[in-house]
Amino acid sequence: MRGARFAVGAAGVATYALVPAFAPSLTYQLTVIVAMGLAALAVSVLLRAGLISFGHALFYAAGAYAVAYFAPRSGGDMLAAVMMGLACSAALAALTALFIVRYRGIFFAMLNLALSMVAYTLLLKLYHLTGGSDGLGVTVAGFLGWGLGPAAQGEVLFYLALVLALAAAWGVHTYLRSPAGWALSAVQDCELRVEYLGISARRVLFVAYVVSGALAGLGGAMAGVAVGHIAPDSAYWTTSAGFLVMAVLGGSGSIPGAFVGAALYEVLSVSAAQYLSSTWELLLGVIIFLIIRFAPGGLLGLYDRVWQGRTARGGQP
Amino acid sequence: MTAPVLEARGVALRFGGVQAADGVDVRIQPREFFFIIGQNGAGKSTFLNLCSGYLKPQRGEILFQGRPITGLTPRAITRAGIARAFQHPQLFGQRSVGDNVRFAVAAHRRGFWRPWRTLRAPDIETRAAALLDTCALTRVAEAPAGRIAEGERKLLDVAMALALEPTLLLLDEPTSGVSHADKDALMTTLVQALRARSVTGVFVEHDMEVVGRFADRIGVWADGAMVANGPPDEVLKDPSVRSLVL
Amino acid sequence: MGAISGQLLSACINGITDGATLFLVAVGLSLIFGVLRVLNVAHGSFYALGAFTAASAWLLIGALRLPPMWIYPALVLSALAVGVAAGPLIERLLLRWTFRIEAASQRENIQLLATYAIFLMLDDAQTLIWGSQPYYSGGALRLLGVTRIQGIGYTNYQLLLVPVAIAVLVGLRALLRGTSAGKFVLAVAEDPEISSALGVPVGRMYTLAFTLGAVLAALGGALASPTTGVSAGIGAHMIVLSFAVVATAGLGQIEGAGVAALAIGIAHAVAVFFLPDLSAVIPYLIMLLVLVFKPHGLFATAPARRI
Repeated sequence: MRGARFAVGAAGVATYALVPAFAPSLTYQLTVIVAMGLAALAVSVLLRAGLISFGHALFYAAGAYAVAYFAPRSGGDMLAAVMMGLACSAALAALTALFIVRYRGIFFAMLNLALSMVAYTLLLKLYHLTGGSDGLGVTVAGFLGWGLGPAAQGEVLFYLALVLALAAAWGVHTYLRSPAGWALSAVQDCELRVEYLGISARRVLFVAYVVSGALAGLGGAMAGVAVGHIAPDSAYWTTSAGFLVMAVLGGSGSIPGAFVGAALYEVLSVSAAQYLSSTWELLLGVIIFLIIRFAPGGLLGLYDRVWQGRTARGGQP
Repeated sequence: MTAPVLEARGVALRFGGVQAADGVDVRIQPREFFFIIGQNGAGKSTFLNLCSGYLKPQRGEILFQGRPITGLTPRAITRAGIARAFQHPQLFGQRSVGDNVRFAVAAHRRGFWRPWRTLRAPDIETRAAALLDTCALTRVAEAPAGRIAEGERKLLDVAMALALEPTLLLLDEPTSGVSHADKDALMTTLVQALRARSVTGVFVEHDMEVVGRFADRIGVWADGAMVANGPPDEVLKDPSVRSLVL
Repeated sequence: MGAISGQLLSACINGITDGATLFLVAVGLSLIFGVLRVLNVAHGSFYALGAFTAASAWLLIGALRLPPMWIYPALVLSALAVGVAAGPLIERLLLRWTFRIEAASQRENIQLLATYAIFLMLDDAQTLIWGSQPYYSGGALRLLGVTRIQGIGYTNYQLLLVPVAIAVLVGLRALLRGTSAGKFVLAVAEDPEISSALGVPVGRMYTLAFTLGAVLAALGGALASPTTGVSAGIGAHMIVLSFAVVATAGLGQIEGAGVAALAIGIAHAVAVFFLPDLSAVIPYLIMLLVLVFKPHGLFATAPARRI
C-alpha cells in the first residue's frame, strides 16, 4: 500500500511540475501554493508535538522581508536571496525558541501570537525601515549568474520552489523518523517519561521550532519573490491562522497533507473571490468545522480511510 | 560492609502543611531488593520522588554511589544511573509497545540527535528485542501501549527503565492494579530481569505476600521517616510493625 | 501643574476608561475559560457584533425620531440580544461535541480550531449584515455632557464607563455567589465530573457560562462603540488584545482579568502619549514580560502534579 501511495504522490508532483508548460498563466499561483505549503508544513511539524502556533506568520514575514532587504544588496540573485530569507528566519526562530520552549498548550499558542503581533506592529510603524503599510518591493535580477527577465523569473522560481519544497519534504520526513523527531509526539504523549529517559523535552522542542521557523521563512521568502512585494499583513495573526487551517485541511502531521491543504485553501480562496466574494470566510469556517468534526485526519485522512475501505473489501493494495 | 549504592542522610521535606519526609536515613546495598512498606501518607512515594529528583529536599542529602545527587534534575539523575517505574505507568500510549522500548533504548545509546538515525537501526532493534523478551512483552510488541493489560503496562514501564541500563531502579507499587492471579508472574519476571542485569531494586509495595516472597530487606515507613528495617522474617513478625502497617 | 504630569493624568484617565470596556471583554473570556476550559477565539466577534448592533440601534433611534437618551438602555439591550441569540446556539451546536474528546491537548487544539472557524463565520455574518463601511455612533458620547479635569475635557459618558464596569463586576459576583445557578456554574468550573455526579446540570451550566461570557463581550463592544467608532477589523483586533489581558492575568482568573485590563489600558494610554508609534505593541510586551517570569500568568497557581 505504501508503494501505491508513493506512486500516486510522485505522479501528482510530476503533473504539478508540468502545468506551467501547458498553462503558463498559472505559474505564479502554483508557486505561491508551494510557498504556503512550506509554511503549513512548518506548522504541521509543531503539531506533531501537540503545539499549535498562532503566530507562524512571524517567520513567514521575516523570510519575505529579509529577501526584500538583501536582494538588491547582493546582486539580485534569486537563490542567494531566498537562502538569506531562510537563514534569517532560522536565526529568529532559534532566538525565540530559547524561551518559548518552556511553554505548552494554550500559552505556547498565545506567546507565538503575541510575538507575531509585536512584529506586525513594528513592521507597520517603522516606516523608514520597513516601508510601513506600503511594504517593500521585492526584485530579483537573476539566478546563479544568469540574468532573467520577468517572465523567465516566474518559471525559474517555480522550479526552484518545487525543488526546494521536495528537498524540505524529504528533510522533514527524515527528521520525523529520527529519534529526535519521534520524540516530538512523545513530548505530547508523556513529557514526564521523556525527562525520565534522560532526554531534555526543551531541547527536543528547540530543534523542532528552529526547523519549523526555517521552513516558514523559506516559504515566505519564495512567496515574496513570487509576488514581488511584501507588506505587514503577512505577519498578522489571520495569516498564521491560514497556515494552521492548511495544515489541518490536508491532514495535520502529514507531509504531503500540508501541500494538499495549501492547494485546497488557495483554490477555495480564489474561486470564492470570483463567485462568492462576500462569503469566503463563512465558507472557510464551515469547511474547517466540517473537517475537524467529521474528518479530523484532513483530506489525506479521508483518502486513507477510503483506500483502507477498498483494501478491506478485498482489493489488492 | 560494601559501600551503599544509595544513601539518604537526614532528608526532610515539608509541603502542604505535612512533613512528608522527616529525617530519613537509609542505606541501600548494591543488588539487594529493598521493599518500603507503610500506611498511605507515610511518605513512601515521597521518598522515591526525592531520590529521583521529582522533589527537592529542604534538608539533608542523598548520595548515589558516593556522589551527592541532592537537588539534581530528574534528567541528570537518570543519566547518573537511577531509573524509575511509576505507580501509573508513564508510557507513550499512542505508539506501539515495541516503539516505546526502541525509543527508550535510543535515548540511552549514542547518536540520539543524529537526523539520519532511525528507531529501526540494528543496534536499537537487537537491544529492544532482548528487553521485550525479558519482560515477556514480545507477544504484544505491535499493540498500542495504551491498549494493553495493566500488568503488561507495568512491565513496559520497567522495560523502558531497564533500557537505560541503570544501576538502581525505583519502583512505585509495581503490582497495584494487577489482578491477584497475575501478581506472582509479574514480580517473578521483574525480579529475574533485575537480577540478570545486577540492578538494585527499591520497591514501594502494599501487598505483604509479595513483600514476604521477594524482599531481601524491608524498610518500614511512618510519618515521613523509616522507623524499622531488616530482613523479612524479622520485620514482618515484629508486632509493632504489624500494628503500624496492617 | 506641570504639562507632563497633566498629560500623564490625562493618559491615566483615558487608560482607565479604555480599560473598563477591555475589562468586560476579558472577564467574559476568563469566565468561558474558567467554566468550559475553552479559549474562545471567537470572543472578539461578540464584541464586534455588540458594537455593530449598538451602532444600528443609534441609527434606528435617529430614524424613528425617538428621544436620543434611549440609546443608553439600547446599548445594554443590544449586548443582551447578541449574547442571548448567538451564545446558546454556538455553544450547543458547535462546541458541545468537543467535550467528548478525552486527550486534553488534542481537545484543546480542536477547540482552538473550532472557535477559530466560528470567528470566521461570525466575521462574514457581520459583513453580510452591516457591509464593510465603518459606522459612527458618536452622538451618544456627547449627550451626557463634559467634565473638565485639570483643564482637559472628558465626556461624562467616558467617565461613567468605569462605575458601569465596576457595577457589572459586582453584579457578576453577586450572580455567581448568590444565586443557585451561579453556584452551579462555579461548581462546574471547579470540577465538572463531581458536579455532574452531584446532579448539577453541567450542560446547561456550560451554556449559561458561555452566554454570559458572550453578553459581557458584546456589552464591551456596545459600550465602546460611541467612543471608538465601529469598523470591520475591530473583532479580530479585540481577539488578540483580550488574549493578552487574559494570559497576563492567568487563564480562568476572573477578577485578575479586571486588574490586568486596567493595567494594560493605562500602560497603553500612557504609551500613546509618549511613544505613539509603538503604543500598539504595549499589551503584547506586557504579556510577554509577565509570562517570562510567571509562566501561568500573574494570579494563577501552577497546577501540582502527583505521580
